[in-house]
Amino acid sequence: MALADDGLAIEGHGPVRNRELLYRNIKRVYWKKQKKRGGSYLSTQAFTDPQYRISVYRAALCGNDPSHAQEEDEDYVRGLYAEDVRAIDTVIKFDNNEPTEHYRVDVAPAPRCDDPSHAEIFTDPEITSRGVFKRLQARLVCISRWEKGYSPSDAEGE
Amino acid sequence: MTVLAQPSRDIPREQTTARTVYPFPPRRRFVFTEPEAIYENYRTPLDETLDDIDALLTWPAEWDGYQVAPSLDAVTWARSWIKSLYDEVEDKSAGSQEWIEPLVVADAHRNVVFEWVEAHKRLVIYVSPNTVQYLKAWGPDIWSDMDEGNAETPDERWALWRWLTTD
Repeated sequence: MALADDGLAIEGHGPVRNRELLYRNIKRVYWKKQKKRGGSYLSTQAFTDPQYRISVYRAALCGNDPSHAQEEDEDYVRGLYAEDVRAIDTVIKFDNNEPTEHYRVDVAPAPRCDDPSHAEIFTDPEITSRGVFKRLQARLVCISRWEKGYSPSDAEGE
Repeated sequence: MTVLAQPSRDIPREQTTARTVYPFPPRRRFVFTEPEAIYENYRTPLDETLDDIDALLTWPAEWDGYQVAPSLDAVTWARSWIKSLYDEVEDKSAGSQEWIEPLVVADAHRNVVFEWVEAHKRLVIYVSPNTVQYLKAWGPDIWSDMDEGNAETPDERWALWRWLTTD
């Protein structure tokens, strides 16, 4: 039986618990190494989706194996916790400095026929403004971390 | 006064034949082992960014779950926008500032995206066929540490570059 970090059982169609680790597949094109200046960074577009529903995989339901999230062997993997995603609860759309819409950020199961570990990060209500999604993307870069063995530095050491 | 070249007085014209041997220097030997180094010397820092933009057209034509190629119009406009910024950096900084290569990607809506990170500052430029917009982030808070707007005019473009590159 799969368990979250808090020891509670996890089911494929059950809600995503706060202490669950989520994997996000990262294409290499979204990472830049600064050749002359040193350092590196990840693009906000590593967390993009045309429908504003970001695809992730629940670690506890895929054997805590980051490679499960990889679309291709060369892809990287970032990890982030569901509670950190839900903590982004202040996404607000402002018009003329007046708050007009509040978005609650959440993650929910979105099992596919061949993969019960699939889930999606989304907002409630659904985002209608690209500006709001841009801010959410920047925040997701901040709260996610490279998974050991699936980072650019690991790939360089191949 | 212009002096025209004169035929050699030692060899009368009527005696010159196809067998005449002129003293050419030894034939130059070309070495092709490292042509890239010579080529790179003639490239500007902007050229790499322009190559990165063109490379976006090799991305998947349809959304594949992680990426999609930008529209041709967005690519054309992105090339123009980044060239203008590069020229402004060169002109206005008078050599005091170094060009910083952006990360060049596309978003899920087929726009070209330029992205820079300097210290704690992140600047993201979204180039669509009709608009150019920016996101500035200088911290984690979505409201108090981020700002967004247009980046279409030279003044707007330069203000963003100054924000990115000054402490």
